[in-house]
Amino acid sequence: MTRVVVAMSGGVDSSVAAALMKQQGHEVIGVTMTLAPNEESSAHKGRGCCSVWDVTDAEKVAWKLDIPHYTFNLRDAFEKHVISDFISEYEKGRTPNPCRRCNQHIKFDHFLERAEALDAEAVVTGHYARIEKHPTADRYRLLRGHDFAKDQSYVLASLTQSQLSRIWMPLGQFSKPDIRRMAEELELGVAKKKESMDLCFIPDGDTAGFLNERMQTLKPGPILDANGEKLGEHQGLGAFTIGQRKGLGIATGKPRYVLELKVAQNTLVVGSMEDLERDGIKVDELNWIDPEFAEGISDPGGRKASIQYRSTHRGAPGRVEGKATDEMVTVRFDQKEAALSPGQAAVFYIEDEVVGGGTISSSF
Amino acid sequence: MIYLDYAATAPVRPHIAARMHELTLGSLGNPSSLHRAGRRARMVLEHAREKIASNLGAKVEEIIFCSGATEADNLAILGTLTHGDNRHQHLISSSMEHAAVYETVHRQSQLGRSVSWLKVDDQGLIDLNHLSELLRESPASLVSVMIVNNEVGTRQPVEEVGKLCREHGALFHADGVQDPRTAKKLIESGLVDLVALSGHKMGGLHGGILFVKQGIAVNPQIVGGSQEDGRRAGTSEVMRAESFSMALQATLEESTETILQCRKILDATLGEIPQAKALVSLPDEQRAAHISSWLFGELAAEPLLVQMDMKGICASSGSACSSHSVEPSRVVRVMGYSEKQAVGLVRFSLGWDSNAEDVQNAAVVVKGIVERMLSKENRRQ
Repeated sequence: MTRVVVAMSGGVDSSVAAALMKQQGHEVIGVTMTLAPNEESSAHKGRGCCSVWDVTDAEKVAWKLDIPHYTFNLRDAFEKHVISDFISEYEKGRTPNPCRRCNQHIKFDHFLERAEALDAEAVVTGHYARIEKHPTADRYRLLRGHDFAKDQSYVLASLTQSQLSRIWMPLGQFSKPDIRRMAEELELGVAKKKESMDLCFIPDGDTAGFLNERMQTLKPGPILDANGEKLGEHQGLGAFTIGQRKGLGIATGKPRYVLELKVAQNTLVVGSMEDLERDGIKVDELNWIDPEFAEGISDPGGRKASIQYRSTHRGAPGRVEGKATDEMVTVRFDQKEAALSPGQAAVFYIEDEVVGGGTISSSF
Repeated sequence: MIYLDYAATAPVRPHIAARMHELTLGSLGNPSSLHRAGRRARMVLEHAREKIASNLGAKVEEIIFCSGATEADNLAILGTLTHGDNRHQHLISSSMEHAAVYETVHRQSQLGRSVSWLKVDDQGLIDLNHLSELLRESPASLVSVMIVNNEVGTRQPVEEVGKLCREHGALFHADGVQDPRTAKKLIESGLVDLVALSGHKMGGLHGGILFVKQGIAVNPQIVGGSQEDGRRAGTSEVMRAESFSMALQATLEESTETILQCRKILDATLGEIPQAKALVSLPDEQRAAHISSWLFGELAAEPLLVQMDMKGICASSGSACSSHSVEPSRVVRVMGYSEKQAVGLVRFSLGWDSNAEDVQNAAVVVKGIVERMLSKENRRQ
C-alpha cells in the first residue's frame, strides 16, 4: 500500500481525487492548506477557497471516505510568496498570476515538503493535467488534461522533474462532467458545489479594492492614447491589465484597450485592438520539462511550438529561439497576437505536452 | 487510541453519561415553567448549583451558569467593567492568558480602555513586583490572571495576586479552567472576586460557570430573559448544570497522584531525546500536574502531531484555532522563544482516565517519531 497525501481544497475536484486514490487501494491522507489571510470572519464577503467552511467541506468528504484529514497552515508562506508578489507585480505594472506562483512556491514546494514529513510517497492534486513517465527517456512528461476546456497545465509549467516525479494528477484523464457524476455517485456533499472563480485571497472579487488597501503608491494619473494625447484620468494603475477594455472610464467612439502601464510616469496608455498586436515576446524565469526541446531552440529558426500566454487562451503557433542555457528566450508568433501581459506565463506546447515555459518579460 | 489531550477536552465520565441518559428520558420541562415538569427541571438545576457552591465554598447566588468558560471569562471582564456600581476601569492582565481573556482584554484596549500587560519570565510566571507597581498607579483595576496556563501548565502565584488586589482594592478575576482544585482554595480564601470554570475539562459535558463574589455587580452580556438572576439570559441548561456539578465533585475528590506519576513517566522518556526541551521546569507546586509541553529542536508541531495521530496518539499544540491548523503560540513567544520555536509547541495533557501503562507506551512511540523526524531534518541540512 502506498501512502499518498491528497491536497483537498473542499471542492469537488480534489474530493474526487481523494476518492479515486482510496478506490485504488492507497493509504490516503487528506490535507487542506489554509492560505488566505486569517480574517476574523470573511463569511460576509463570500467564501474564499480556504475559508473555515471549505476546510469543513474537505473534512466531511474525508470523513465519508474514512481517511484521516489534517489542516496545514501555510499562511505565512502564502503571504510571502504569493500575496506580496501579487502586489509588487502590479506595482511594477505587470500582471501577476498568483495561482501559478502558488503552485510553484506553496503547493509543490512547502506542501510537498510537509507531505514528505508524513512519509508519503506522492502528493495527489485535483488538477486537470496529466503527469506521465516518458516511455523511453528517464524523465516525466506534463500533458494537458483530456478535458481541454478544463486543462490546467498552463499553471503547472514551472514544475521540475523532481517535483513531477512525486505528484499524481488522477483527474487528467477525465472530464469535468465525469468528475461531477463520480462525486454524485459517491454521494460526496460537494458534488454540486460552485466552481471557485475568484482569487482565493480576494473572495469578494474586488481586486482593485484589495490593491487599494495594500498598495501605498496608488495615485491618480493620466490616460493617454498612443500619440500621447490625454483622454482621461485613472485612479491609480492598480489593477489594470494589458488588453483590458472594461472599466477605463473614458468615452471615445471606438473600443479602447490598455496597451501599456508606464509605472515611472504613472501613466496608462490605451489604443485600438490593432495597437495591441505584437510579433513576439521575450520570456524569462524559464523551466524546461523536455530537455530535447530546449536543446533544439538554438537550431536556425528555433523550434516550432504552440505558445499559450494566458490561462484562458489555448495556444498560438510560433517559434521559440535562443539557447537552452539562456536566461531569456525569444518567441516569434506565426501571426500577430494581442494582449501579451508581462508577468503572465508563456507556456510552450508540442501537441498536448508541456515542453517548457517561463514568464513574459516584454513584447515586441 | 491513547488520549493525551485532557487540557483540550476530557472524555465524559461514565457515571455522568449515565445520569445524562436518565435526565434526557426524564421529561424535564423548562426550568422557568410553573408546572411540575418545569419544577422538576428547576430542582435539578438548583440542586446542581447548590452542590457546586458547596464544593467551592461559595454561596448559591455566587454561581452563574454559562455556555462555557469563554463566555464566563467574557462576562467576568465585560460584565464588571460596564456596571456602574463598580468603579474599576483599568485592566491589568498578561499575555499568558487564554484567548478568552487575552482577546477580550485586547479588544478593550483597541476600544480605548487603558490596559497594562504584566511582565512574564521564561517560565511563564507573571512579575508580582510589576503588578504591585501597576496597582499602586491604578488601584481601581480589574486584574485578570489565570490560575494554570493551558498551553504550558505554569501555575501563577494567584494567592499573592489576590492579596495585592485586596491591598489596593482592585478586583481579581481568575480563569481557573485548568485547575479547579486551586480555584476552590482561592475562593475559600476570599481572595478572588471572579472565577471561570469549565465542565468538559473535568469529564463532564460542555458548559461552564462564573463564580461572582457576593457584592460584585455584573452586567449581563447576553440579554433576553431574567434567568441566572438577570445576569445571563437564555433558558437555563439543566443537563449542563447537572453534568458540571458531578464533574466538579469527582475532580475535587480525586487525588492528582496518578496524573503526576503519569506525567513523570512521560517527562522521563521524552527527556531522553537530546534536542527535547521541556517548556516548564518549575517545582511541582508551581505547575499543573497534568500538562507537559515540549519543543523538539526546531521541529514544527504539525507533522509531529499528524504522525502521532496516525499511530493513535492524541496530543495537541496548545490552543486550537478555528481551522485546527497550528498557529504560532503567543504563550511560547512571551516566554522568550523565537517565532520558529513558537510553532513547535507539543502539549501532552493527562486526566481522570490516564494510566501509567498507556502513557509509557505512548511516550515510547512519540520518542520514536520525534527521533526519526529529527534525524530526517538533520540529513536535509
